Amino acid sequence: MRWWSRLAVVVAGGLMLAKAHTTWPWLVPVALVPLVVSLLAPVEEAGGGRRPLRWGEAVLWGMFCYLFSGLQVWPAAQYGGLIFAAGLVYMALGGGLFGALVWPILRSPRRGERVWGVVLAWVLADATRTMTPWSYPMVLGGNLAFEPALAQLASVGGLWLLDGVVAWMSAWVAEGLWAWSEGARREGARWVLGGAGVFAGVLLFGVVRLAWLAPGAAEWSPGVEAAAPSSPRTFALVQGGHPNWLFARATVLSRLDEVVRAGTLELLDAGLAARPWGRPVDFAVTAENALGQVLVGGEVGLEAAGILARRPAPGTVLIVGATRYVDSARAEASGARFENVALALEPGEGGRPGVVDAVYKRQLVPFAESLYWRDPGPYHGLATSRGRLGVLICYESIYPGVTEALVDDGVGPLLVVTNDAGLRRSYVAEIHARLGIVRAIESGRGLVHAGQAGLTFFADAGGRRTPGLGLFERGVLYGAVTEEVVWTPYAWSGRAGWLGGALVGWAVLVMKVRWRMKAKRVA
Amino acid sequence: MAGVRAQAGWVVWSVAVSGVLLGHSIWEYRVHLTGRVPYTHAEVGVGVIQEGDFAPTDEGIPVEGLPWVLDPSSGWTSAEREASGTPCGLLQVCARRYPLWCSAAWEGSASGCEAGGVLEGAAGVEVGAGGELVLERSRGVVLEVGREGLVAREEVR
Repeated sequence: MRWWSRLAVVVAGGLMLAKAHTTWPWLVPVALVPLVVSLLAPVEEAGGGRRPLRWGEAVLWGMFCYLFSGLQVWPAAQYGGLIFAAGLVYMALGGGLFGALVWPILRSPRRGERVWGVVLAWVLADATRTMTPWSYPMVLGGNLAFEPALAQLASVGGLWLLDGVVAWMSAWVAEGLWAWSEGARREGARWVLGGAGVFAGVLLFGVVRLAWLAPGAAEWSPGVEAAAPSSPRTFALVQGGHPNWLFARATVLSRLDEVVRAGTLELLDAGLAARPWGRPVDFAVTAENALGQVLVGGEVGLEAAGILARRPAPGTVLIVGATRYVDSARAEASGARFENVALALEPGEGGRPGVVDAVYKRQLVPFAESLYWRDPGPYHGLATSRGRLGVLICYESIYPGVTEALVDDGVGPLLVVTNDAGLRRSYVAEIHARLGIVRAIESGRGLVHAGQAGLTFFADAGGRRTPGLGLFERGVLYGAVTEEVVWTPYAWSGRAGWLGGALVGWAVLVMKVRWRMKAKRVA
Repeated sequence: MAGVRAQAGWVVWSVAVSGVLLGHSIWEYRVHLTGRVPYTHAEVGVGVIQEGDFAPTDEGIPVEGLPWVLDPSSGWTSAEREASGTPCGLLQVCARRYPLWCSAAWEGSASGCEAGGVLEGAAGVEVGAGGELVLERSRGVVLEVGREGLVAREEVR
């Protein structure tokens, strides 16, 4: 392949990756095809000869593909200029890493080995994105959660199996298209059909599993008959129409006051008064930063924010997402000023709610949060009289390790409290939702996703979403998820085995290809 | 010749795919996403939030636009006008007019205010050492009570 045709293919590859992550997730199964073809194809030299791609070239083409992908995604994600630039660099490094890992195996003359090389290198490169707070794990395979039937393999091998299967499908199709373009039409068709066969297998597994899995989540609307799942935990999820945390910047205090009152507190009262399936809800939730202010610690801040004036029914737990000032003694000791917290309050004397437990956001945003925010203790479930919830604050749900820690703590349903609408009308909320759904399938638990101004929905352990509230919609979403946990192989095995296996498999393949090439040279 | 045809095939395929995807993205970014951030809350009767139009979230209050009268005193009660001249008066006015944002701050006493014991406010409002309200410390924006009402000014350092 000449450089200009490779450039065209790489640009198309970057665009396909970007769209697969965002608005056209049905591209996911083939999104890697152009990138793999560009790394597979030998270099056509001016004199008519051919040579394999060099390692440095593979790294650079990988970087360029991701760079172009990032150029597509990040402006629309609306994070701001600095983060956009950092994101581009970060994404380019990810593409370069894939190129570096896959190159040693793509030199193999055997198509089967090359396909496995793509799968293992892809999974390993993506895994590096999930390991530190400095990475942002927009893992391609997680986008299969847009269609639950395609994402059921997450129950077996987690996000890694989804990601590997995606790479597997793309690698088969890429091999087929490359063979076709080299004139081996029949062989090419066979490999493309092989890729389609993998897709059909994934779909079949998903359809069968979902048929076997009883629905575990339901939405409830007044006057509409809807069956609740077995062992239901009912929720009222309050969603304001504005991203309240931005209102710290508003310049008219009376309007701030009105917006929080109308957008959160009045809706919260409606949620507490409602009787889904004939009884008060188990949990009424205001999402991350729904109060639109930094709370003073202790009861004083909750009082000022109007929370302690609410009167939940006996047995109803009020869950409040808030940013708080760290008290001065601890602030001096740790240097932290703020903490991002989810509080559980239950009615006490005279029905006045009091705090019974709290969990803190620990996966802190680099710089923006990590410099001044508190990062206390290990992960644990939010303990309430209505059960132990696995609370994930903000983007903690996209890091597999956080959910694994909560599962180890024996939590029931997962509850994500977030404020994605603060990133305006962008793809971020949807990508966040898809990865949360993967966590539900992996862990075999119901998912309650509460966005301060969207998205808000319920999903069951099969990843099936209920109808919900979109970005900037205002309302209360009522519904239930079952507290029963579905056993999954992945919840038992965790990610270490899968990633360790991928690393060993990759190393064995690299050695095998090297050894064969060396033997050939000697011969 | 076959090689040239194959190369051309890849280029044509790539350009076609890129064209469709890029075209959709441009439409999405320029048409679908733009202008769809609702700044009004008409359905619940809340007016426009003065946050500016589609600006990055880190811009905050434009200092060059100061001072601003945030809340003209023409609508204040006589008790609020009187209170505004006392120690911690700003907090008191704020607490009465916007209880969700400043009530915690005013529940303390005036002596507590002088001793620096007043609780911090909310919504980005902090209490300065002299009892003034600081709207955005990092950008030096403070609230003051002026004859015209609550005013946001640049902090005198």
